[in-house]
Amino acid sequence: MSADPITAYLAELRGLLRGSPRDNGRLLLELEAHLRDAQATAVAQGLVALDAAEVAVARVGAAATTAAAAEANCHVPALSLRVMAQALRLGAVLLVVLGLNGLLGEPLSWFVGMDFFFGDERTVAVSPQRCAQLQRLQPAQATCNGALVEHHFGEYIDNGLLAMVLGVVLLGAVRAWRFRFEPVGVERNLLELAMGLAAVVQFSLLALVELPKGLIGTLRDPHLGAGRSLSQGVVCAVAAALFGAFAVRQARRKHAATPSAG
Amino acid sequence: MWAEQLKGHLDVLLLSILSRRPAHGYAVAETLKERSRGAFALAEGTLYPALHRLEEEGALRSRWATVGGRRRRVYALTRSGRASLNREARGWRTFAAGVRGVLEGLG
Repeated sequence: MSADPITAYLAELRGLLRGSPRDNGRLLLELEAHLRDAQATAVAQGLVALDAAEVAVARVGAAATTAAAAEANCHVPALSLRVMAQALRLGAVLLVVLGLNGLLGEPLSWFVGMDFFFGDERTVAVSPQRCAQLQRLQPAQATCNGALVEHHFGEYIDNGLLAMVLGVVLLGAVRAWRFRFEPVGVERNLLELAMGLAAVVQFSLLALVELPKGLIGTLRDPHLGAGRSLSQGVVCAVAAALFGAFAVRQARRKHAATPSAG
Repeated sequence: MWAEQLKGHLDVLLLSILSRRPAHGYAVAETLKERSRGAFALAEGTLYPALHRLEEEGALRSRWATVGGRRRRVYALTRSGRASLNREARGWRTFAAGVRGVLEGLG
């Protein structure tokens, strides 16, 4: 508990506000300035700081009254729109994780070589036309299949970078939209929790598919391209664990907020 | 005092105060209190949602400014807000003249 009535008032109001984070933040900032001004006025009239703060809080009225007036202004976006925002978030996170996996391929290849990711391409039959095209693109490679491996590895890194950039942009856009429009409260927390759980399922499934494939393939021969699956499996398993921790934190936060939300 | 009666007329009072010069919320509250001679002592916290609504409706615009060492949102009337104020004030004067006429008839 805060000894400062103004801080206590603002904390109480913060717990009651049901607007978007942007609107709530703005209202709290404006009210804090208002309360400090009212306090300064009361101090100038001869009150001590604590009494002046109480006078200032009395002037602005009950936090519930302010919160109710603010709530009347709220335009809550349709549930379908909010669900779509979470689905986009999930897609964006997938892009970021897969993009990160692609980008990690570059430093990993310094230690394990490109064959770890695309060694299976060395056994692919390449037509003379395609061979000439590949060798134009990868002049450092002596063989067609060497050029094919390097070409596909380059695409793998480039696609990773593209996915990462797209994912980050999409995440930023969804975050900005939610900050501006999505009200805080139980529904928002539940949607976040659902998104966290969906991410855990999504990344767990991907890890379950890719990890065994990658592990078995790497144990058989580490130069036959099993690294793609192994690296994707590991990155997805880490992402699933991170989102699991995130979902647990969200659930705890929601549980902690329940008594005061009513 | 008169807080209930004030509810339906708060918008026009806020527009009127801001028609003189741009101001932040605390200055608006002080002017409202001063010009109503303390009659309109409303819960000042409710001023801000009203200001935000008027801004959303296009009657006001606002920007952050540092005034007296503190960051505040300063509100100003827009052209549409001024038109709305003129319309509301005309309506209010007609209404007040009607009420006055009836009350004087009682005397």
